[in-house]
Amino acid sequence: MIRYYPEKVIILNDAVIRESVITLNILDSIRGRGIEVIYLSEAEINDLIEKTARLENSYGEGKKTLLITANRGEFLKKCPGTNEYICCDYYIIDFAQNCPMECTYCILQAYLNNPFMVVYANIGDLFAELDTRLAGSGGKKIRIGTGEFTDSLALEHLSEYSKILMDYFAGKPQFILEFKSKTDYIKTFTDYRSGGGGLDNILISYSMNAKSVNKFEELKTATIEERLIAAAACVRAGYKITLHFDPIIDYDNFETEMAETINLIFKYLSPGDIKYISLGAFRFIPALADIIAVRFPKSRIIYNEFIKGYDKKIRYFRFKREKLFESVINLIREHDRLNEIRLYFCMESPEMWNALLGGAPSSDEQLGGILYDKCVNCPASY
Amino acid sequence: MNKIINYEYRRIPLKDIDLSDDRCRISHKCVYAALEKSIGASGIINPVILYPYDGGYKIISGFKRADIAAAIDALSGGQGSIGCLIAGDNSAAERLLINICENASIRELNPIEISAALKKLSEFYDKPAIVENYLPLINMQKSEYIFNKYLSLDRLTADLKTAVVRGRLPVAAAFILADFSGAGQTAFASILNETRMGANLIVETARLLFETAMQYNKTAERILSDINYEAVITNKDLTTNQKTETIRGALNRLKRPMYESCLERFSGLASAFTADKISINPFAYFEKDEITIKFNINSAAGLEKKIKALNRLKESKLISEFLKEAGRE
Ligand code: SF4
Repeated sequence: MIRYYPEKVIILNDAVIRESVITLNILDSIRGRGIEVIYLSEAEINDLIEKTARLENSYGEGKKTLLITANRGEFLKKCPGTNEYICCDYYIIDFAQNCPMECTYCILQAYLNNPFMVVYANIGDLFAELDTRLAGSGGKKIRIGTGEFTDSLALEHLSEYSKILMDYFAGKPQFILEFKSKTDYIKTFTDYRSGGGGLDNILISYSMNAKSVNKFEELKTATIEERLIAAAACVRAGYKITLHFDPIIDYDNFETEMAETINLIFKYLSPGDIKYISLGAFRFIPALADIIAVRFPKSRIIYNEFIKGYDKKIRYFRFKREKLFESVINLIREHDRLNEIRLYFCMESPEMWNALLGGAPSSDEQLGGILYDKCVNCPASY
Repeated sequence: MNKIINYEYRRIPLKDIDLSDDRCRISHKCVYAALEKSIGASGIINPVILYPYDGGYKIISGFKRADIAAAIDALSGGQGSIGCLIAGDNSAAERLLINICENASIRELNPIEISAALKKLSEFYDKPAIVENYLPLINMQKSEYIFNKYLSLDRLTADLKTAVVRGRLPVAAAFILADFSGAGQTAFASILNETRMGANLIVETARLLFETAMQYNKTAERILSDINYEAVITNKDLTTNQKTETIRGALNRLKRPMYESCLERFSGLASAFTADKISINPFAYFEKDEITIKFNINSAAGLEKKIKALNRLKESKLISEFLKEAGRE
């Protein structure tokens, strides 16, 4: 997989940002590549954002610039759920926004109003906020991810943000830190192990999909096999792995290609290596469909048997989702005969849980707790 | 274009004007009844702009006016002349801009004219320059997206362009149809002619057809032939509304086969209770295992009857299929 390097780096001209370890790491890793670096005030940056946002392909163009700035809002956010679909009680660290990869279905295209690749370098504020908020969590077991507004590892080769977060969470077993990625970048994790870093509460997650979805809808990402090779290396280094089949897309040759992917998973990993697998069917807000139609006119993923769900998102008709899930579950269970891997749905109705997973959790918190326990109670495989 | 254009007013015989040259033309060639009536009654009020060419004249602006005047003149022997403004020495790009500016300054260009203007401007300028300098000239927002959208209308068949000019085909539908092949557009145009769909329904139907075609990776004309649209629109026993409904129904069944068949089965089973005046409906899109039962009572005897009917419902296939094992065959 080709790693991302921006054409230009803009740094907020503020001492905290200029001297942040994140900024220094990035400057260090782009040295000698002829990448333009400029320091601008907040007002100048806002002007530039506005100008770039006006371009027709602002989202594609904006990614060429990496903006190192400060997060003036909250770093720790609760993953938004809905009342009607069951959510997994997940928290997010908003450390960066946007992504250099180009998945046709990526929600960030409709969500972000800043087209640049953004990294928040005010980590002093991040840690101060985490100290206060996590201390006030009353012993609740919490799973926290970094792959919501970006891919967790897309910029890791530049910033080493994940490494810094792993240091922060080391020795805090109440919290599980999950890195979700479509890359195959593992240097942070292998280096961390060889440096003697702890890993009890670290999860490394890879997104899985059918081969054609990976090839035609997940542009500039690592192939499924590259991700699995990375996952296997993480397992060898002693890490816990989780997988996400999300979004599951009704694609040509769905059954055959899913079977190929699942066979490939178990070529590289054994059921005991995988703590859980989440399953989520493709869903999107109507605005995203318009963006996909313009940015990726050849993609056919937005044309299918869709309905409007109670969360106002467009999703496949219930029995179509059920059919898709059922075949993925059956394929996984063919390899995981002892049911070692915990399967769960991302944003599904209790009806779907009852039909396919033998019963629904009673609350988001219960599901969150089950997933936490699945990871912490199972020792890593070394 | 900052150049000052000087014109000379002259009456020019219509036979000296080259009506076939449409290098500067942005208007669509079709019948303009209102303009025809007005010129027939009062002659040409705004002079046509011409430039001298090879001993005769070519048109810069006023194509429709010149076409109509020539047609009227032909009926009376073809010896007439019209008042014209003769422009001096201008480049081809300047002549085109004169036409666009002249039209845009006195009225709103229709979508087909905008499309033609953008297409012709593209022969002289690149896209960013047109977006930046010329879209505002025709009262359009500076946006590449808008440029591409309007330019795409150039791919419409002549019939559909006429339908847009006449206001019969909404531009939102035209944008969708522009992605169809000529055969797909022709098929849609014949549906348009044989039904009396209103503007919203036209847009919805065009979108439904486009999405269904994309879903099956087929062309629009193939989807229309799959639903046998010709038999529907030529069926003399159907009203225009019934034709519309039949075509839309067939497209919907193709687009949402699982939902439509579920709904059909549900409605079939629920119809067993219509005689009891009990209406039974599923949760929206069967998303929940939940049904709504509605009935009215106005006497104890009436209630007794409903209770009996509800007991029948409890034992019915509808309940076992849609509440226990909802939707599974
Ligand atoms: S990897 Fe994730 S964040 Fe990046 S483009 Fe794909 S879906 Fe979006």
